[in-house]
Amino acid sequence: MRDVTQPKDKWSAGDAYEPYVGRWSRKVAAEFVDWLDAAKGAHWLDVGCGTGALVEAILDRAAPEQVVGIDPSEGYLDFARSRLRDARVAFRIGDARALPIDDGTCGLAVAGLVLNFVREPARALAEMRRAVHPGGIVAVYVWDYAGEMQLMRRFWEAAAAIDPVARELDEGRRFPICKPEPLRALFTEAGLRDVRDRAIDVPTVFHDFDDYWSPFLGGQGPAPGYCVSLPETKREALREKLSAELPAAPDGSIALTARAFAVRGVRPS
Amino acid sequence: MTDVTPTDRNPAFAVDPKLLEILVCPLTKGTLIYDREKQELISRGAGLAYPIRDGIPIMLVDEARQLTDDELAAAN
Repeated sequence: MRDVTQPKDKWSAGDAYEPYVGRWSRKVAAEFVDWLDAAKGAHWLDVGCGTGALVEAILDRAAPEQVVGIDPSEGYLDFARSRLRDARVAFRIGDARALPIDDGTCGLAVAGLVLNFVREPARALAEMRRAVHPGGIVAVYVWDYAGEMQLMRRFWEAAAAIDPVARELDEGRRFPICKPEPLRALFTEAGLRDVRDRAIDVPTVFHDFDDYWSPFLGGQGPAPGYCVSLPETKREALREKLSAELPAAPDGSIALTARAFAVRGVRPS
Repeated sequence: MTDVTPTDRNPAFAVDPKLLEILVCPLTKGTLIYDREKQELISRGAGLAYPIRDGIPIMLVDEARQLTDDELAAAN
């Protein structure tokens, strides 16, 4: 019997993460950074920086003085560091719930596609609030797992039709905080003010079915982790179901949308 | 990933002093002392030494080394 109450999500191999979520999360990161509209020369803290998609967007678009990326995974940080050789960036291994950052030393503390994976999100937000100076910004974004993060939504719906266990693993059910209201409540309870949210939609266009399917065989993240755990016959049934159901254009491409919810708040003076 | 260049393993390039300024012990939020020779960050308050591997400080309590009484006395 598989343990469905506390799934162990695998997040460590950067090269498998990229084709699954990394390539799409980059687009969200760019919109997110633009939305924050930070002054040039700011000090940024990226909590749960992973493979560095958000760090890269900050470097490209916000002209920071410094970006510190923190993540518990050495595998991801090695990947991030191999891609981002920039004197303004420093990486540390650390826990979102106990940040190794001095009080009030950052202008912005951000977390992309992280908060729902942290065991105590309220503690992580409290730490981010502590790390920014008064007037500083705390901001996060998460996928709309239960709604318009379609590449995952379609996967879990097809999986649940074949295997009842999949229902319990579905991130839409596992992460109820990934909606604007609960996110705003978390921010307000963390003592942040001027809390605002928005949806960020990005197109996720797959060249063909294989481009959609093969990242699920990489094992990175909850849905791929589930996919590779399936016996061959069930996985093949799932593949066939998805192949039949996904909306393919005449050229074979599959155009879906991925929605993230972004929330920002200000540390009061 | 293994494509870390030899430069990254050279302690002289490892830790930017400016960035060390904002780094604190995740447990006590107290300041850290950089031990260049051992490549560790010492938290006196917590009695812990956080390792620096390939230039990346490992700021996890679970991965930190407990300081001996002698080391603690020396740090204080």
